[in-house]
Amino acid sequence: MTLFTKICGVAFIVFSTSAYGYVLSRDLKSRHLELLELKKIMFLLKGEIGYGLTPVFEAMGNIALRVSKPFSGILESFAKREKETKECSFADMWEQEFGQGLSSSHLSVAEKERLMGLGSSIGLNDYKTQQTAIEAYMQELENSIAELEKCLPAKTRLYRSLGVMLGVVITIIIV
Amino acid sequence: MYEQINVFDYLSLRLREIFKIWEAQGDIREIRLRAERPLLVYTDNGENQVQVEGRAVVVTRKDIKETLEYISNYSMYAYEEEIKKGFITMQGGNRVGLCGRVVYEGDKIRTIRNISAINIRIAHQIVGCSDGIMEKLYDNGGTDIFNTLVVSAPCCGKTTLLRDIVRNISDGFMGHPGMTVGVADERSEIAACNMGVPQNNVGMRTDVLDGCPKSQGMMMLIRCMSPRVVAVDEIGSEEDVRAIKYAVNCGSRIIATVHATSIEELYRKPALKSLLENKIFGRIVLLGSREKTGKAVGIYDGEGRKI
Repeated sequence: MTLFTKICGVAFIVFSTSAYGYVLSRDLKSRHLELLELKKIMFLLKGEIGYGLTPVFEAMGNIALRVSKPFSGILESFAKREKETKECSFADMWEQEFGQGLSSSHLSVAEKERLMGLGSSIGLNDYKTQQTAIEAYMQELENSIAELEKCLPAKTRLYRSLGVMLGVVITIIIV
Repeated sequence: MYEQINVFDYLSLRLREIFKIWEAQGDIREIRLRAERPLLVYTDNGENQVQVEGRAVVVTRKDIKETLEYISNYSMYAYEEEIKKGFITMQGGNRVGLCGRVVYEGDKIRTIRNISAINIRIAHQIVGCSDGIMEKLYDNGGTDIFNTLVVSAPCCGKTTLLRDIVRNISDGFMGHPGMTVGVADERSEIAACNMGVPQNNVGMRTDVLDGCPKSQGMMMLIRCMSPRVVAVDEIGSEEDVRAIKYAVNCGSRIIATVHATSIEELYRKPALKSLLENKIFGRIVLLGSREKTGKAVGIYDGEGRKI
């Protein structure tokens, strides 16, 4: 094996592990951004329901224009279902739309489950109960965000350094 | 614009399946859902108990919950003001009466919870029912309209006739120009608004103030929308009379309805005395009894003379 090949191999290993570390840290940041976006959606939904008494599909359509992907797409698709003949509960529709739309999201399994659960509290209640349900969910979101923010800088650095370090360790073992 | 809505599409899936085999769906006037009680349907021929394979169909709480979800478009909170009055107006103008546990806040009704009974009344506006009397309501060579009072006993077609008069005035009738009409629709019976949009055909120049008390609504309409004609259902209080005088003084014409079985009974009503003595109404339309629902049995001028 020539020296040139060895150098190329080492560079490839270090680059790959570093890239993996970078991807992990970026996923963590994306999860943080998605949680913040969800909080914004809930804030807007609370306003639409509580102050405007806007029907839920119309509210979804309005909010879709003010948030980023993937949520804008999910809410837009939700709003389009207003015209269809109703054949399932709101909770089922919520689960279908968010389940499909968030298939490639960075949210944790627990966070996705909590979001799915919110669907069963929307639709059949008076606005005060509706707002209370949204507020309770927002509180959970805030806890998740606070928890994540506490460890986000450290974890981001850790993932990146570990990526590089792993590459170096593998190189030493191989060489 | 006035889209025909299939009311059965708003029932729970189970009940929808049952109605698929129901003959003469068009004859249905009312569907009554009561939790743990048989499903009842009212047609022109009276009450029918819905049966499948000889057994009465019993409505479940799940049926009611599901039906409510569909009727409210998954947004019960958006109908809160209507629920406080005990009904929801569906798309298509169908009226859904609700019963359950009433929740109070202070001395006012906040909402109805645990809804256990739904009464779906299928809208039946009769377009053209006022055509026979319209010519007699026009004044000044057809460019103006008389202040008109429609009089009948309850359930004899006053509101149906009023709605059609509004439509004719608004769209213009047989070459007469259309006029701007303001409707103060306190109980959503004239225009049957759903989310503010009239579900009944009340004409192209009609503005509807939905759910607002009549007397306040008439004044608001005059100040905000400057209607040529103001329409209002079931007048009777002193406030209503004051608002009518205000509207007439502002130059608007009034089309109103009132409960009375005869002209004599109408003139005996104390609240309307000042309006009738001052001959505010140029036309009084008396409707027939239940056997002659919606048919005018007499049209009178402001003096009470039959014309």
